[in-house]
Amino acid sequence: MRSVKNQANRELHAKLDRAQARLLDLEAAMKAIRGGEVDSIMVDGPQGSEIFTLQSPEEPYRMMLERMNEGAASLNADGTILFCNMRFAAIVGQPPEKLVGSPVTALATPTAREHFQQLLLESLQGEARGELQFVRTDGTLALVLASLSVVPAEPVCGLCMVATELSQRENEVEQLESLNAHLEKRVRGRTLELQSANEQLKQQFEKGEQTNRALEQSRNEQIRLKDEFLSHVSHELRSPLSVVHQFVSILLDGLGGAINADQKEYLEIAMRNANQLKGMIDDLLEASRADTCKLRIMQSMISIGEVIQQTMRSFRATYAAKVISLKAEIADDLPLVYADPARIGQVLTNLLDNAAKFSPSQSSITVRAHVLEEDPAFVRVSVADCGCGIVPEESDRIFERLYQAKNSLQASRRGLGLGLYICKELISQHGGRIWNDDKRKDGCTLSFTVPVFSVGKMIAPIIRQGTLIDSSFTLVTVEVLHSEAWPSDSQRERALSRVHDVLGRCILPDLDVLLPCQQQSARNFFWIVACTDQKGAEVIVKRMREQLSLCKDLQLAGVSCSVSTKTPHLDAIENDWSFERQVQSVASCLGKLLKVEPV
Amino acid sequence: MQNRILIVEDDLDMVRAMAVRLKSQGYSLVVAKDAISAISVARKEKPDLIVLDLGLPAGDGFMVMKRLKALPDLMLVPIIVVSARNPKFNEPLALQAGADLFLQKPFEAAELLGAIQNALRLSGARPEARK
Repeated sequence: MRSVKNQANRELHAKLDRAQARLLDLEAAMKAIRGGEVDSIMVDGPQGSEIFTLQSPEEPYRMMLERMNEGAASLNADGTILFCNMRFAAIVGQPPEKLVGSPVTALATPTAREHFQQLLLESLQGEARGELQFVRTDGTLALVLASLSVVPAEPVCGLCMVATELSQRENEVEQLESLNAHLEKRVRGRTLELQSANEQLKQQFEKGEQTNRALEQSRNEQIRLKDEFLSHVSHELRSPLSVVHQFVSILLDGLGGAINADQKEYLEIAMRNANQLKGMIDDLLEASRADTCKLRIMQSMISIGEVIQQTMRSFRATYAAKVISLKAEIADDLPLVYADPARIGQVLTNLLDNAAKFSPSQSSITVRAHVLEEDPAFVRVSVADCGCGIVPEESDRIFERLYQAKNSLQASRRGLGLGLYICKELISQHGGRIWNDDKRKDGCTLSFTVPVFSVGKMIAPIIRQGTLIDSSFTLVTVEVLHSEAWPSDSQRERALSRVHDVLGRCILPDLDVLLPCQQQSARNFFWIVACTDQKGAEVIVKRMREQLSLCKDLQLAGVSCSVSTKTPHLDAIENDWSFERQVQSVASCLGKLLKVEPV
Repeated sequence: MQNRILIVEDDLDMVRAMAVRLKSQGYSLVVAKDAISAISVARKEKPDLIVLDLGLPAGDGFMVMKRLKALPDLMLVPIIVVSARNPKFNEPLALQAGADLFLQKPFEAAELLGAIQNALRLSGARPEARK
């Protein structure tokens, strides 16, 4: 009996176990079905295994519900959750199986529940919308926009609810911001890349520049070496020449005893050749300076006629020996030119030298000077000889460095081939040009131009500022004097350049104009157009006298300066005149004054 | 009283030429042939004026001027620099170093004589320059 009871008990237990196992299976299957993991179910039936697929007409809608980004739930009329999608569960922070069957209002925070209840009631009439705060199981809050609408059905109606998480929107904003930040970071990254590429390019450019600089440097170095060499050679040649020069002059001056006429003539020839040698050494240095653009000119207001006459005087003796007649045709009232008298003298000497070299005995050489017809801003000076002439092909080449004309081989004396090259450089420094008239067949005519001095150009800046119109102006005259005669051109030039520098320091560059030196009739003047009255000019004069008295080298060289002022009458200038007319008026007034010999 | 001139020059031919010229004008001369002896001769002889070459053995004209200008009893003695060097660079340097005038070789005798006369006349206004 007992064993039967035990037997029945065991069977019951086994049945219970099987039933429990099935229940677990079913629960798992349910979960799988709810989770959408199950597509079909196989059921063992009396006719063997049968397969039921879960594909139903509602499947696409279920998929849509599961996939949508909003939370969705269906409720019965009293607000109990019948179904919800995963998104809804995620928003409220609870698993869906726990949500099904629970009242939806319980999800809201206690303060929002009444509002929720009201929304539910409202929605039963059709639709309702409202913002609600839900509380998740972990205590965090979720702001939700709930849209409720009634689903009419028999016998009782239900509700469907769509929940949009507003804090999600905020997240999206955050996401956007983070995207933005990311983008910015990328832009920054790219910018850095570009910058580094730029830097690289810059470096490459600099490298190129460096190479250029190195090349330039080596070129400069070569020029420097050549200059140094020439300067050295010139120095080495000058020293012995200096001794020759000194002793010849000692003998000529009778310091070595009385000399007869023949001896005097021979010594003069020696002296002339020593001077010629000195000229060649100067040419060597000049040619190297012309190459490196260091040839300097000091432009003054000069009478070109005077320079021509002076240069021709020193040529008379040379020409007399060859019986060449030297003629000058200088136009009357030539304007003053803006040129360096020593340099123009040098150019003329070169041209006359050349002409004499190629001229046969008993011929003539003519120097002409006149205002250039095609451009009255220039004066043209020409030297015409009756020599062998220059073939047209050589017309331009004669001005090249070290060029020797073919027929110059027959000439009695050859030079270094630097003379005309230096002439060209000097004339172009003046802003003029030099050329050979290749139409001539019976000789050679070399011409050059120098600019006419224009007071207008010099005073235009102060007229532009209007300072000259409003106030009176004073003309300060500085005459540079030598205690005796100037011993040499170069010494006079140096003295004038020194005085010019000193005067330049004594004026106000914006208000006063220091005109270039005026060299006329062996006298040397500086003019200062000062935009001030007599009293102001006295201050300038005092400053000039002080500064000049500090130049001991000028005093030793026997140089002194006499400074005077005058306040000339200036024709009235109208403010409504054109600028050009104002300049012209002042310039013509000044031009008249500059021709007047100052006391 | 004769004015005494110190010639500092290493080219003996040049010394000779200048000596003939200056003696003919009645100056008395002392000569130094290098930079070191230039200073010792100047200290001993107290010249009224110095004619100085720039290129010298045992130093150069600039060194001589620097030394002389540091000596109280010689600092006011006028110095005329006579050199074959390019005046463009060397004239300003020489004037800065204390020279009173720069003459480039070859020069006209009248230039040197005139400069010496003027320099002596000017320094004559300062009795302390002469002993």
